Amino acid sequence: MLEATGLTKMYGSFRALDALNLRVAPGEIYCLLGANGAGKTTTINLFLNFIAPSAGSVSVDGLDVVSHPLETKRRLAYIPETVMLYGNLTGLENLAYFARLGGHSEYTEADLRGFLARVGLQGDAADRRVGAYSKGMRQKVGVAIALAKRAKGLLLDEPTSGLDPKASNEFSALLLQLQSEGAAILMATHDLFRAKETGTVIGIMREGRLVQQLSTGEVSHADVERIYLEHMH
Amino acid sequence: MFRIVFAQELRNLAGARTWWGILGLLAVLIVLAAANGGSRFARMAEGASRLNDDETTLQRGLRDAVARYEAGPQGDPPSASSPGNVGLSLLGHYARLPFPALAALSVGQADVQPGYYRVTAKPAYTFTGVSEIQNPLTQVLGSFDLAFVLVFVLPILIVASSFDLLSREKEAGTLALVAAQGVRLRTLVLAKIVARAAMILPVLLALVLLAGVIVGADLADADTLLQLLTVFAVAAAYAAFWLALAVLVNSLDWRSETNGVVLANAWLVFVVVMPAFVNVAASMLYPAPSRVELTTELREASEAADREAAQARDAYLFDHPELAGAGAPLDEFYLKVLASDAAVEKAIAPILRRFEEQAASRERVVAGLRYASPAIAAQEALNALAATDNARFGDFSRQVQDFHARWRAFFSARIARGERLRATDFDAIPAFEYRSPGYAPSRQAAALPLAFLAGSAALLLAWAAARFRRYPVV
Repeated sequence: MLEATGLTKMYGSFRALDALNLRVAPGEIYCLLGANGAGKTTTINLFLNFIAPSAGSVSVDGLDVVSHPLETKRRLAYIPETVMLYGNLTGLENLAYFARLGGHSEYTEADLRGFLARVGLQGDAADRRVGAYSKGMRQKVGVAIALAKRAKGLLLDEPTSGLDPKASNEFSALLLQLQSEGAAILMATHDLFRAKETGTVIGIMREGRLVQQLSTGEVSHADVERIYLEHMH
Repeated sequence: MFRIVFAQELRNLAGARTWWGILGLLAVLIVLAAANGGSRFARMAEGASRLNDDETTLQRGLRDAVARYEAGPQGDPPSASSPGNVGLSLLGHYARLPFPALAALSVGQADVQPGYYRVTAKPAYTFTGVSEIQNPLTQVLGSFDLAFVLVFVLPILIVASSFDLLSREKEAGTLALVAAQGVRLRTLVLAKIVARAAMILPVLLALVLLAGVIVGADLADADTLLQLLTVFAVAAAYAAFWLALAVLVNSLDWRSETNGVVLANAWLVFVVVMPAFVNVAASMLYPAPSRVELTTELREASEAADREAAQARDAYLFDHPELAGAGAPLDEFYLKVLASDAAVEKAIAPILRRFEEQAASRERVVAGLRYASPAIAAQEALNALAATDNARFGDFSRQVQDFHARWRAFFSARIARGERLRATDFDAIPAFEYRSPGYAPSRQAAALPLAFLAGSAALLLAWAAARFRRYPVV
């Protein structure tokens, strides 16, 4: 579903991404681990066609991202590291707007409230302006937007950043549910524990290169941490 | 996708207090400006309507004096029967340019060009004046009328509401989430543009029509209504230019604050500096002749003409044999004055011609440079539509010259023939009535500036669209 082949991104002489090869099949959760500046966000931006590759190719559901920018985006849901919404609108209004943009004008208010409840946005918070939300609350609305899109592919950039442990746990449960529904999920994260808990594949990135790929079923939490730290030195 | 973004943008704008503040300020300024322009022209019209009161009273008195003498001649004929005395000394006629109601929307050249002349039988230069009234502040800033608000203030409001049209979305972080939904950047920007236009244009139209009502225009008259709609079209095209400029600046991917500074400077250059520069450039390239030089030449020409008065009189009658009378000229003194005037006019004709040519060249320079700034183009279009532009005053001046020739001929023919004025002659003294060309020519005159403004806006948007293809969303 999500495929990068020899994907490279140069900024002048700086190689931000170096010949990345990865594949995320439907029903897989691929966790990209790495330090800041390793190329995780660059990878996600390339899948979203926010930036153009310098070499290689990137495709979504078999469609090249560069030559099919709109069609590929329609197949993707995206949760940025910091979900920024329209502060003058309520959580519900933001969800409604982004759902319509995502091609879903059919949702009723009850449907939208259901999405917000599913991500744990408590009580009347949905009717308050997002300008008064905490980071975690905005993150939940971002997750709700991704759910509402019913996309085949999900791109998540540090999605649990700012979430409390309970919310983070609830988010993991959601991811597993989406995985069971056949979504292909690419998640950039620093959270080794969450990557092992929810991911099916872990990719360790360093300085723009994918240095190791692990199947989470074959390693323990301790192994993941040890291998990761070995690559970071 | 466009409809979704457009509807949301409309809701965002409608929910923003600053937006209503902007529209409210525009409304207040337009109403005040229209009222100011209206009262100014009302005062001018009221004063102008009384201009000929004294002349009419004088003319009636002179006619009555002659009529009394004709009824029962006693003693010498009254001086009122002398065409020389009446035409060259006593009587004049104020040729007045009537302004339509819509003139109050743009004072334009009415501030610097004369709206009336006191026509006499003396040469035209004695009452037209040949010096320019230079009021740099007026020329730069104009009067506080609807045109001022549209040309100076409207761009500020447009820029204030659109300088961060896209940059704020990027800085706030919402742009990435919107773009990830598959919204083309150009669609997003277009929806924002159209939303702003949908909010401001109906208000602008209503305010222009309201301004027309305030200045006393008859909206039931189709021609007047069409004129006001053309004023709105110019305002809309001008607003479109500034909105397009804001969009272009946003396409350069600068910070919102930088956009604001750049657009503020653009306003300063286009609205304040360029118009002043154009005036200065025109005056430097084609300066008006020196007033001292003109006065000196006039005096020298008069003195020379006085010395040659007799010869001039003979030459005058030689040139105008049809005016030679049967007996001795009644008004020999005034005949000498006529001849002297003709000699002086001949002597100073080259300098007057030079002045007119310089003035015409200056106008050509200004006309050519009007497209250096959208503010100049908009102001010129609004002046044309309000009938306060140079073309209107030029037409008035030409009609006054024609009238002056008739007025002068009325008295000079009788002076040369040695005829006395009869009471019935006073009823035949010409009176000036301005033949208005109507509104249609002014709409034609406004068409090119209007097309320039709309075309410039389109070019800026096309440029911005090309830049948005490379715009970094993150």
